[in-house]
Amino acid sequence: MGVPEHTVTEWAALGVACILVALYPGLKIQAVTGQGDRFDYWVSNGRKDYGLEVTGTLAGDLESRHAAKVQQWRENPYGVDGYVVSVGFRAAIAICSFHRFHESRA
Amino acid sequence: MSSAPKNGIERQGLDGDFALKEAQKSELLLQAQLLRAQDRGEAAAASLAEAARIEETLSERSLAAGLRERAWLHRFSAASCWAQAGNFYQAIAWCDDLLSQADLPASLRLRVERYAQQLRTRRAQWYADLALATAASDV
Repeated sequence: MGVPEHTVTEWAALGVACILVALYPGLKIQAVTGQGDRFDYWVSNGRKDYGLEVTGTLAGDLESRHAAKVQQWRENPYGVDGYVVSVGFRAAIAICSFHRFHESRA
Repeated sequence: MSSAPKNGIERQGLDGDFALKEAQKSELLLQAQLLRAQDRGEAAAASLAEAARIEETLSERSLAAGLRERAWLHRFSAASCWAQAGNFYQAIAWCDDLLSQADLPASLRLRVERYAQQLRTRRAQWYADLALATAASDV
């Protein structure tokens, strides 16, 4: 069975995100989130877990896609701080941003 | 950017076995997604039910370690897994259990309330459809 292109893109973006969160904030993916949690993964430094939302695109406006994902992450029900990683494969650009839940809702 | 400590869900005091169970649960959730995409609903439901039982264990262990926020997180995930597996009764029971916690954060309370309401609405629709189908087959 073939894997749809958007799924391959999301998996590739996840690969990039794993490297970025390990390299910069020093985190590793801990678990998959549940349905409706508004972000994709829990990442951890061994003491605390934070949210991680990942998106990938072959083409298109990466910044507006990133902003939309940040907005989505802001709706998480746990009130945790977290990261949003967006990867643009055609332009070979990745955006990794950190967000505080309470500041983001001001 | 503020230098204040980051707000996350505590995991201090949890052992390697806990992390192993989290990984197993994650694998089951991903497996269920794949099975649903392949129209293998029965196998997907079995994976989700197994994930739900792991989440219940993780919730209990979190509570025993004094990590209430983490316990709520795993309990809500258990509710979500049971609902996706088709067990509305257990899903709503866990939602009601969460809503009975006086200090549940407002954002999580709102999410759980909405989710429980959605489940009750869907359950009522399902009962109505089932009654209709049963009546039709009796004719």
